[in-house]
Amino acid sequence: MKVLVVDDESLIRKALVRAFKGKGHFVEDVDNGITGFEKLISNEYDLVFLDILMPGKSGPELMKDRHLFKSKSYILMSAYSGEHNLETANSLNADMFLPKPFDDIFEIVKLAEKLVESKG
Amino acid sequence: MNAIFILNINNISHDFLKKIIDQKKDQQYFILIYSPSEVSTSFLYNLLNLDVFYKILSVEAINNENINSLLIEIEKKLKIQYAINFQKNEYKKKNNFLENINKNLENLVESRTSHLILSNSDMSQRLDKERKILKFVKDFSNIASIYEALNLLKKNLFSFSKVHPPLFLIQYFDKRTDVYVFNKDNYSIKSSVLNINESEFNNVHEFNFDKTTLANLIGRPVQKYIKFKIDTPTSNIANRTPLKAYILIENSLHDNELNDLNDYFLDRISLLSSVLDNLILKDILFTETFRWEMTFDGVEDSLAIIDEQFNLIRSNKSFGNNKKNKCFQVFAKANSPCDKCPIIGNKNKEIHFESEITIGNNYFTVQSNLLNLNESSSNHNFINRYENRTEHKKLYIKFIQSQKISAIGVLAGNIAHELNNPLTGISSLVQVIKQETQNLALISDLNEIEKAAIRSQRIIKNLISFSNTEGSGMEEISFRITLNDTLPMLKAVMRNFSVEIYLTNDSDMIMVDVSLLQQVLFNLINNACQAMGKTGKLILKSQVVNNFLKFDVIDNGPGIALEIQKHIFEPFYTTKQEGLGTGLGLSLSKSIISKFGGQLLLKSKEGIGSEFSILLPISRK
Repeated sequence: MKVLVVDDESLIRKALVRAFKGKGHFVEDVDNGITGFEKLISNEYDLVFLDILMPGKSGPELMKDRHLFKSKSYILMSAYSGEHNLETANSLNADMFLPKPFDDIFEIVKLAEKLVESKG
Repeated sequence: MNAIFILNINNISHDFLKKIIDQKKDQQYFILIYSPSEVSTSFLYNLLNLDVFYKILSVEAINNENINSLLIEIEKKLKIQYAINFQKNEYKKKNNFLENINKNLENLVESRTSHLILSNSDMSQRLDKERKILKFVKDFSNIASIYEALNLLKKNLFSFSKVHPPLFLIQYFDKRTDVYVFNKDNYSIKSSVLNINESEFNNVHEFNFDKTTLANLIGRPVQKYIKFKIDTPTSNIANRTPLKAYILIENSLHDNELNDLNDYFLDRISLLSSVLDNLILKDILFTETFRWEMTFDGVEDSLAIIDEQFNLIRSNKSFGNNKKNKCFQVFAKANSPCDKCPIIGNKNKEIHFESEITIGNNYFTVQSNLLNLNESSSNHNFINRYENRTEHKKLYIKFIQSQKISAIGVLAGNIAHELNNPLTGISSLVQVIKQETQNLALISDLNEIEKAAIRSQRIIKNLISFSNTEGSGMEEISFRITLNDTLPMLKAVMRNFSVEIYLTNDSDMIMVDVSLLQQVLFNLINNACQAMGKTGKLILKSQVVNNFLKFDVIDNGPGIALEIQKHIFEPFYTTKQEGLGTGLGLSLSKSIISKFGGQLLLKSKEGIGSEFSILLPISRK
């Protein structure tokens, strides 16, 4: 599947990219919301990972424009876990909320594959 | 004058002669009797009976020449005689005149004398009157109250019959009237609203009121009376609202007997007014002073009037009031002025100066106002108001502390989240690299890195959880886990002490808000370490007793005095300086544990140490 990672933390981008590539998926990554927006406008992805707090556009801001994008599934990630962020994710119609830190990155890959599969 | 008749009486009868003489008797005349023959002179004397009598010339022979010279002589002598008579008359007149004057003088003297006698009696009467008035003045100069004045007046009126003890009325601006009425053996006051109308008619001031109302007030009918208005200029000024006074003298005198009584009062009314005015003023001032004193003493804040040398001039009950001189002796129980005393601080003698002083464990805000009681430029007076701000200060400290804690909490939260990102990156990337390599040594190293990252994440998670002052929500959790999550944060604090931890193996599941419980545990262990000071032994023990988890924090510090033990769980009770501690007092800890259905207990002995115990119900699901 085709994956886009939008996060300003380089280690997280590297980890996600290599983890998904290792499992045979195609991955793109960008480090800010504006570039992320451009990518989303012009491309179609099976899955998009969005950090919530980012320079440029934030995750929620990008989700507001979801109807402009062709991509199917969106996962919001945040180091700031808390009810507020959960609400934001749900109210913005993201498919999943992933709190940081990640326990096991490969579990996340599996989770992602399941999510995309379920969407068909 | 004067007819001179010369008669030849020879041929005249005596009767005729007599007739002529009688006719001419009223005139001053001289009859020369000429007779050729001798006539008895004595006969002629008797016959003529004249006042003026000329010596009958014995005539022997009167011839014409003799008559002429005789007539001339007679004329001369007549003139002389006439002059003499005239003088005589004049003297008589003068004599009469003098007699009259004399009489007049006598009359005058008499009248003047009687006048003097009258004035004298008048004088003595007046003198008597003045003496009586003087006595009145003297008697009234020693009067100290309105009651005394009325009793004295009543006594003075004893000399009048049918006159009753006077009634005295004082009316205030709201028409409420105090009536001083004599009953049985003394005066008493009856109060009520009474309408008193004053009017001026033909320059005469009059006042009237409803007798029935007055009668109802004093409980008996009002007799016939004479009335006077009492002028109260000084009382009016002091009372600030106008008041009026009147005096009524009831009597059973007839109208024509009233003069004496009226005169008595007319002589004395202005004096009486001035005396009563002063006494009313005294009453007003006394009431005002009393009211002021009650107010002054009734104020909860401490008030004191002091001078530049800290001498206590006046203070209220709350401030304290004993025989000592200086304000700091009475209020602060000290021997020298308080630090930051506004009297010292106010070097410019500002009208209003405020500062804070500390006395023992209490804080006071002192507002100092300059008083201009005396105009002298040296030794000013101040009125100080001491407001006890201890509670307020404590609350404020608490507030600042909790603000600090919140701020720190937010800060910690922010830092924690900031750190989460890179740590997530580290652990995730390490996991990925581990998958991509076969190098066992590398994998081993990577494992260490991953562990370190995970450890860091846990610390951060704890910090986030701990700094969550609102609580994370109730959940079922093992006590051991919670304690172990808390201990890392106390590493620095527990560094100097020997720590023994005994945790039960029994199931220690409890239903609590984790972050709040963490804060309580932190608080107790931190307190124990602070109590021990530089070194000591800390024992942490958990056990299950009667379905309760019991957790003890035992230290061998100095212990807690019984007196303090009584108050230690009270809100805001602290023996620590402001700024230390987590801000979570024992009272808050106690209430948190109570909310979990548990208890926070203390056992302590001075010189041995303290044991704080948390009891929490075991959660059975």
